[in-house]
Amino acid sequence: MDKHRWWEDPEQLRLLYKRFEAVRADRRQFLQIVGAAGGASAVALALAACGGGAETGGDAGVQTTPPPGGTQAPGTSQPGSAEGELAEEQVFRVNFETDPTSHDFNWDLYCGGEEALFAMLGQFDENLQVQPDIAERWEANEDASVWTFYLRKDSKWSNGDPVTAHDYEWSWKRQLDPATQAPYAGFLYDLKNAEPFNLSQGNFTRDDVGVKAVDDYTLVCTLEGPRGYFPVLAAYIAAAPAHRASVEQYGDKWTEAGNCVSNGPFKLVEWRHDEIIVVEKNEGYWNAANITLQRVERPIIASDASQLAFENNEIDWHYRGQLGQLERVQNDPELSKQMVKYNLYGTWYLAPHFGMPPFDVREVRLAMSHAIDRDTIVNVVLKGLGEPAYTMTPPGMPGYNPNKYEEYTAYDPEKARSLLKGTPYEGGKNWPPITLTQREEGDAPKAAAEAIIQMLKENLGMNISHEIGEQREVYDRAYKHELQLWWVRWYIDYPDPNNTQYLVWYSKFPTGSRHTWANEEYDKLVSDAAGEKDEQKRLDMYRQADELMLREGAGIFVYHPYNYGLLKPWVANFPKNAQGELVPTWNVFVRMYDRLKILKH
Amino acid sequence: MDVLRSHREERLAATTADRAGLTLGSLARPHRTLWRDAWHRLIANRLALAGGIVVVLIALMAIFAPLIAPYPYDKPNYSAVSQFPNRDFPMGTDLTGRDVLSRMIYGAQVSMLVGLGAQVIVFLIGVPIGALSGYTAGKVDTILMRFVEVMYAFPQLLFVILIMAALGRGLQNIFIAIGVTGWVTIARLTRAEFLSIREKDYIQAARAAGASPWRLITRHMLPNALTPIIVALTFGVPEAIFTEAGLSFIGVGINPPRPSWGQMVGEYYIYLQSYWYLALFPAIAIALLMMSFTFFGNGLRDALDPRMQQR
Amino acid sequence: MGQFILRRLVWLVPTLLAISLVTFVVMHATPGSPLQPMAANANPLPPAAQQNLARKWGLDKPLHIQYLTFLKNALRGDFGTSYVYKTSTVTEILARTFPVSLHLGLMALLLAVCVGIPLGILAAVNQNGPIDYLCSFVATLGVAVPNFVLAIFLIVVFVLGAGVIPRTGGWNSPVDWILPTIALGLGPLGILARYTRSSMVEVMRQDYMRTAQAKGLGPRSVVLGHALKNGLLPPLTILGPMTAAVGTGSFFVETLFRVPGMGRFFAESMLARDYPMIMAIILLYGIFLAVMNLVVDLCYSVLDPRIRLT
Repeated sequence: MDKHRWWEDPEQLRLLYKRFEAVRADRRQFLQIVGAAGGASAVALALAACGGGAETGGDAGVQTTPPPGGTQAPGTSQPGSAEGELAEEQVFRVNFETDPTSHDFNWDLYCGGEEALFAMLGQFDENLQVQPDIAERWEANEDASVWTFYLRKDSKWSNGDPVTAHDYEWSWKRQLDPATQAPYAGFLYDLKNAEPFNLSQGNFTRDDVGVKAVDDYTLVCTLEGPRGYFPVLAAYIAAAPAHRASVEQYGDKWTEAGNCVSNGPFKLVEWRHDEIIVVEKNEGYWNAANITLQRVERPIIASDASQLAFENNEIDWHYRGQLGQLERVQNDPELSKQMVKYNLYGTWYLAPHFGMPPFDVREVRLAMSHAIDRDTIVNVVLKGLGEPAYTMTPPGMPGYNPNKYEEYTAYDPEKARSLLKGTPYEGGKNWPPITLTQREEGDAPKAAAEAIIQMLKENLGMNISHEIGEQREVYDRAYKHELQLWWVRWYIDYPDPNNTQYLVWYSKFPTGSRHTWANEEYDKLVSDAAGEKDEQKRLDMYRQADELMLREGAGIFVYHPYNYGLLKPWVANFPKNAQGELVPTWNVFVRMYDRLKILKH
Repeated sequence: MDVLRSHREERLAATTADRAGLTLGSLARPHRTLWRDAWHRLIANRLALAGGIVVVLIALMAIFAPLIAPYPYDKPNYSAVSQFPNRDFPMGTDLTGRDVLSRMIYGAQVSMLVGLGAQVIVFLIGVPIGALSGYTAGKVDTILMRFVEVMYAFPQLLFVILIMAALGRGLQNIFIAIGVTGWVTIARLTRAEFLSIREKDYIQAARAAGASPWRLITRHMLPNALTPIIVALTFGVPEAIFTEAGLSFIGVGINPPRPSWGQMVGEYYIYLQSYWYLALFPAIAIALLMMSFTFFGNGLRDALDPRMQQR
Repeated sequence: MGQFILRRLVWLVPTLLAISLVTFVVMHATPGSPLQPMAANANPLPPAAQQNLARKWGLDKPLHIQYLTFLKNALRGDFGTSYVYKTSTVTEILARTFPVSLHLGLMALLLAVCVGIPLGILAAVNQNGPIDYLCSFVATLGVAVPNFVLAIFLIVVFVLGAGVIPRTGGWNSPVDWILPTIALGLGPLGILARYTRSSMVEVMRQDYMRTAQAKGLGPRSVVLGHALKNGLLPPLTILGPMTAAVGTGSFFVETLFRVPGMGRFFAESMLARDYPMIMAIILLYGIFLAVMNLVVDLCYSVLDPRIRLT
């Protein structure tokens, strides 16, 4: 088997998953990356690797060579570049919701700092593909257990020091050094002897760790074994470097303003705690010439106050629109033009507990589906920020099932009531106490839940109490299968029904299933579909699975959520993925500023 | 203090402090107790009467909410979503078309319970401790004040979250959390008043006349210390109402769709630009409740104040 | 007097010990681990790393040892590193944020005292007159409208509406101070006005006031000379804790106006189970409060000599 096509090798995937597990980057993130690299069949394998049960043999392919993706500089090939004249001052303003704890991603990847300060060996593009960054190319030995990264010679730290292989060697060893006590050091355990060194087992020292700068621009990583996915790790924010001289001089405080030396496209120029963070372009960064923005200003503004700040022209991008402001935004001649609606690629649905009355009766579950008026929820309650859901996979995705299955989903209170005939609940009576539980997650899901509760009360006579809890507490109880009626969403990680149908509803994961519904036929359909090579056949299988779910009332799908943001008209070239969706900076894709241009205004 | 003066003041105190009931009653009316007398004075005070009536009305509104409210509090009406106040919906409707007026009427239930209930706890704990401390003013005072000082030094918000995190969600726990953190202010206030009052001549006089400590405290000192206590309790009402609202944010409050005034304000205040009326009406209701309580409290104090009848 | 102050300060020590002990016990008894990261996008920390962190923070030791360690370090002014802001010590954070909160708090308090007390006095002198009603109105407004509603209202009206204030928040220039001061100060203003009024009314009913009037003193000198001294006692009692509460910042006002103060820690530290921060702010608050109360008691004895300082 070609170790470079790591996404086809169950063993490799298992190891990669272990790395992700070490940093608690959840399974979805892992699958997302695998999906981006190797597509659906890789995901099926990955699932097996992280505790799934898909029985698919990867074909021993030998066609391509790593790394995935070319060596073309990103930022130079944007589709739909800026129209109009550029502003003289290329300043972009967007808020932080809380003050970061530091910008030291090398020490704590969840420090909440500014990702644009650092550059890894590789970077993710808008489609989550790994592209070169500080390393212009990389290669591996035969079995992918030794990786050699060739660094650019033209990239500099913000103080003018050249960015060298020694920086990465030192930084990764810093993260692994037990004295550093970096919480997510497990991320680098693929490096040889990294784990025992980090855990102070045996007599391993820094020098035993399998990362070595053989010269200033060549970094050799000797791994514990074959790891075809290693470039994915090297592009992730946890693999960011730290500036040795600054760390040695300032210790924990090395990312404070005045101390911070960084190697990314931007450098820290100001950080007044709890007030503002200002970064400016690092002219020494290799791709600086292709970056238009000169300066990014990030005031610390809590989410409740950020729309006010946007309207007062203090920030250019307000990424979390509130449902309660939507109507005004839409009616405002100016704001309505700045509104950007975007698909959240998810599904909100009700998951009834199959072991708890009244949901142990199939007719009850089917009746509920007919008793909920999805169009009203989407158009009136959510004011159009969503689309009615009939099946699990959201629209805009490959494998979206356009069939509405009206025989199971049409809003028909009469039919709903007639379904109850012959059950203990005939005539909408004798209901046991029912509690609908959700996590605290903003106004839209709450309003939708209230509407659903009312519809079920009105049409079926159910009396449902509404419980909103803290995120962790609710998820804990849900995975222990303690919730009677769970109002929950699933956000898509990678574009395949495998994600929405297999990962969410498959019932035989050894690590525990998300839902209480278990159905042999369904499990077989979705696990077989993952390995199916014929695309049409594969989709057909998912559609059969869709119908099966509806027939059994596994879940009651209600809506696919959208959200809106506000973007000033002078911000151009906002990153978009292949589907044309906006991609703001987040955990994996962190290079939004590199693309943006500010028009004259 | 010379004998003559103290003698004079004893007589003075006997007339003023030992209750109008005696003098007034013996002069004009047949036998009357202090409280009955106070009651008559209370209803003669128009502002206090109005305040009392409003408080009672709000309480009745809370009790009979299902009968009064024109619409149910939890039933959305999708043909009338987020309407501005109009003829059908005098206070408008919220984002799911629920009538704000009806929700306000039902919201009185939780808000009255939290607002007044917590004050009852505060009063029951705070006043006895403060009174005892201020009355004795010796070793007991020192010990009690150490205790109060420790309790007092806890920032309220943090301590309420702490208690709620330990006890879990629910209306009764909100009472406890607010009550346990709120009584200290009242205790300190009561003590300060008592310290000041106990030096007053009429108390000295009553004491010299052999009044028992219990009688001294309940009959002589407490009524005179009541003013600031009532004012403080009045302020406690909206404070408790908003604490309840704040707890709902964190996920330890009461669950929807049951409305409360504080929650209605807390939920909709960020939409002030879009729907001003959503937060405005419950805020007015809270203000009204507080103001009524203040007027009623002032009237009550006046009624209990024996000197008042001399004017 | 000097002895009194000394005694009070000596008494502060056991008080603070008790405060810290109670907080320590309750804090550790509350469910929820401080070892998990606080950031919104963060995933839970694996068990091995949790143990690492626990060791680093000394959470693996028995509780009484932890408490003694805390005491030992606290005596040296070392409250440890914040569990949330991992690269800053609690002392650094508070040294940065407390002065800002104090600054804002004192401005708000100044507003409250300068407007609230005169308003209360005027209301008491003109009982049931227009000023009295104005006083009632302002007081009710100040208390019944919570500061977060007021904050948004002020921003909408003065920043987005009238445009008198250029920015919705910040702490850069004196212009930024105006709105948060009003939002924070109106509540205390209302409370002070109410207290002053009712206590002045009370005092003016006292017999000695009537005696003074009978002696032929004019209303103005009666009020200023006699009533004021006694009438300001109850508001004074409130002023101590009010200074402590307002001077340590408000969660909502500081968040909405982006004031870099310490107010948010009163909620955040508890939610994040940031033990060092909880201990530090409780003690800071405790000391601040004790000092304010001491000042109040001293003022008391000056205003009312009958109160013995014991």
